Amino acid sequence: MSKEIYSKPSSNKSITDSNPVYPLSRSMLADIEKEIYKMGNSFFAGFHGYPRKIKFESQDSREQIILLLRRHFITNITWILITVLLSLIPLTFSFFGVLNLLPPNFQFMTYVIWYLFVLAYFFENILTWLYNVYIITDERVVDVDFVSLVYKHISETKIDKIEDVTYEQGGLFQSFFDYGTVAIQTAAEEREFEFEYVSQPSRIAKVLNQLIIQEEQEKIEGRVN
Amino acid sequence: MDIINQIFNINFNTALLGGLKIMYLAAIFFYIIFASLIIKQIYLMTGTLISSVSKRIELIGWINLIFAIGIFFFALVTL
Repeated sequence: MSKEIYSKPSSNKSITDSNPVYPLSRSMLADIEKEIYKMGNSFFAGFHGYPRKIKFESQDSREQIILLLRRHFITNITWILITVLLSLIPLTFSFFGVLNLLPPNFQFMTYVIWYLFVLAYFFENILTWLYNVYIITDERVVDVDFVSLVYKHISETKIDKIEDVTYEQGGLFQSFFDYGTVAIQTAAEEREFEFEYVSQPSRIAKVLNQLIIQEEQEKIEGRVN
Repeated sequence: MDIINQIFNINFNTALLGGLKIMYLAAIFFYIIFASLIIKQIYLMTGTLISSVSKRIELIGWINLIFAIGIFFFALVTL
């Protein structure tokens, strides 16, 4: 299991000392962009850098989404396999003649109803995967959770409230497909955020770290609202 | 005796299939409720995360509901 920790810089002074000239944050933005372009956009990895046509409910007009993350697609493997197995069960019914006692119209409706419920299972899972997202903007981190059918939980924290960013990757699957969990410790009411099973956790942690430094720099320059 | 057996069998089969029909219709009815909840959920989700595919996902939700209602009437007629 690999684990890395990025900590908030202990003092603001070191940042200004090492970069006395003004456009530090601009170069940092370029670094962040470079990092994100290295990651590339991937639907299956659940990873979108600078998504252009995506907004979220509480987004400010000047706020920009830097990363939109989902669980890695491979984490869906369990319910996908269950869906495939459930879809194949009626074939065994017809092979062993389980429904032969019923008239043909009842047999047909049994299959239809079976597949309706398989469809419901598929729908519920794909929607949960699509819309349970983690958003990193230039101002904050947002965790959108849809727990049950009509319940949503959104937690967010400002970048400048982030204390530590750690990530964990363990096991064969996580190493092979390069996904893991990024944990964010904050000084806000919501003490910890977890980006579970996201793709390229090391790079996400790096991007967050760069954003923290940039936010510090903005504070020093007095560009914070 | 054969006639009684035949009548009993016919009634028994009719009652069994009638019960099965009610069960099938109830199952589809539950699916319709579920499909309605899915639409509610989709609107909640697409309202939270607005993307270019939001409209398409909403459309899929509505098609699913219409399909379920269609199946209900189909079952009502054919069973």
